[in-house]
Amino acid sequence: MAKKKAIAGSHLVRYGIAGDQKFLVGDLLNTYDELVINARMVAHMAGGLALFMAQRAHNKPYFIDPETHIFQHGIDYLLSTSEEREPKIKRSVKHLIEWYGDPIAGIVKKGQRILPENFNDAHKRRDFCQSVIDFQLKVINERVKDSENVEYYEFLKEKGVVNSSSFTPSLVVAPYFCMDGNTFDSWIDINIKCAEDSKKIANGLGVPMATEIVITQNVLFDSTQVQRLIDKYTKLKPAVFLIWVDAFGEHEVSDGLLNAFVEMLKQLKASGSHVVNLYGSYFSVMLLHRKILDGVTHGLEYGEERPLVPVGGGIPTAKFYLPALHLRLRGDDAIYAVQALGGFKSVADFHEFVCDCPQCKRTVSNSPRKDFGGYLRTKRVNTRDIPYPETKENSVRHYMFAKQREYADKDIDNALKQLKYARKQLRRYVGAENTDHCEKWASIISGL
Amino acid sequence: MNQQQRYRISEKMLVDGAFRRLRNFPSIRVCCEVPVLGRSVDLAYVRDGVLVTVEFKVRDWRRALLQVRAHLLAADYCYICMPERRISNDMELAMERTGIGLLFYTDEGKWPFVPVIEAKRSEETWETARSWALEYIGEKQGRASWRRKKR
Repeated sequence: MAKKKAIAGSHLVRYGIAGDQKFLVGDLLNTYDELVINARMVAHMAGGLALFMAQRAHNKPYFIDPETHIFQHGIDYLLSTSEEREPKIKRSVKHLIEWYGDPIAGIVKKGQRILPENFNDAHKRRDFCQSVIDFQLKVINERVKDSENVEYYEFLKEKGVVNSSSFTPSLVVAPYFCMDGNTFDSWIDINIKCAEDSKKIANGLGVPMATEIVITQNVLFDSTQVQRLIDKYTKLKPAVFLIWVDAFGEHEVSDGLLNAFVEMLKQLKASGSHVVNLYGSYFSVMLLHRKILDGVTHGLEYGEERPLVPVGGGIPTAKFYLPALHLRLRGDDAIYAVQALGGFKSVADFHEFVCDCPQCKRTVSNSPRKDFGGYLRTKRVNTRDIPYPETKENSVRHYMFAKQREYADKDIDNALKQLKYARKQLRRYVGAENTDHCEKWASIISGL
Repeated sequence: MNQQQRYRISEKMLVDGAFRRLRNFPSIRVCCEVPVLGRSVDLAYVRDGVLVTVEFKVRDWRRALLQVRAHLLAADYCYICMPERRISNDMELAMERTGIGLLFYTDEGKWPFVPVIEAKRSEETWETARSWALEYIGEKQGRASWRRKKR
């Protein structure tokens, strides 16, 4: 197998649900470098993904997050919830279990949750790692070969639209499990052994391997645990470290926690591997510009932070990503902020002081006061306000264009000035909770 | 109303009581749980083309003021409605400063409110949000609150 670059670029986007597809193609295709696809979605619609990769995503590099952690939180998180039907294992999870095999298959079948000791047997653990890697390398490829579109793919190959590596991920991710302050000791050695086994397999196949480090914030609080984590993981020397801190909202967490996070990243980076934050905000993008990270992933509007559970997604809300604060604001705050920035005075002012991305030029083109509603309109469904499809489309497209600029604009000194200015300008209108992160981020980044 | 009586009253009782009586006025369009920019207004009514929102609270008027701030973007006049109580200087000053009015809830008569502090016309009304709220009230007017759970 030809050796590929482990990650194609610094801007990674999480492809979490099938509905995301329309926001990853067309004029948004070039706003990012690589896709990170959830294993459950791959398991559920590998055929559709193959078509998407070949036809619409034009061979965009990708890798699959094997999501092995989902089996350690209890069976309830794996069940489909419907009032009409008996709860049963979600179809996507079922497919994943079939691929991964034992020990996961046997234990989930018994309705139990995975424990560290289930991976003590070296032989079985190696087989499990092999299965998880096979899934990532083969699931889409096999569907291409088996599908009724096989002739079509051959035609695309002849035309040079796809090649033999089009459906192969840029890297494989070793199986991983979450470590919190309490279970750290139980899981760390299993995670390391899974990574060691996977590295041997990946090396044999000539594919770069990534190790995903998933921890809770409690671990970050404990410098001894962080040091042990760094000591053990850096010896692995994977191509890439993928980092996920449970529900780590970079806007909300304390300076102390952010500093601990940065320190951990610096030490991982010093080992020579690439380091990618799997759920990061503009703070992480600034770390990227400071060369402490090599990549940052986000979802489509959501996904700048993510809790480990629930395993599935949440309810969409209508918010506007305000570039000045690098934050999604709820409707009322967004209006106060745009007003304070002078964006409602004229279309030109909106584009100068709020945003002039291609979507804002399209949405706010006549009367900013009225047109801005295109980002906020919702409909009431039962007890929830759900964005209209056009509201979601406008917001996600604006978000994607805004993120593209954040990754491209490497003038950090100017960015730090802008952050401080935005806080000063907007604090009294949208509150400390929506602005104080600017000062905190600026202070930490300027010290790096 | 003494403190013990007041604590037995729930916000839902006040909302439902006001809603039932306002619904009897043919010239008024009234609706509960009106969506405003991702938040919910307990009760909103339209009379002579004027949109009034009412947030009900049994106790915490400071919290109510925070919640009502978003209503100012959609309404012409915004009120907080509480059971009869003593009005502190702090409360009066805060109402004056924000332009939000205060109503006491009453069981007597057809009209469920006793005006205590008149609201000022909102200077923050965002016409788009106002038109969405009016549209919603037009569609759902007079219907019982969805907050009653299905059994």
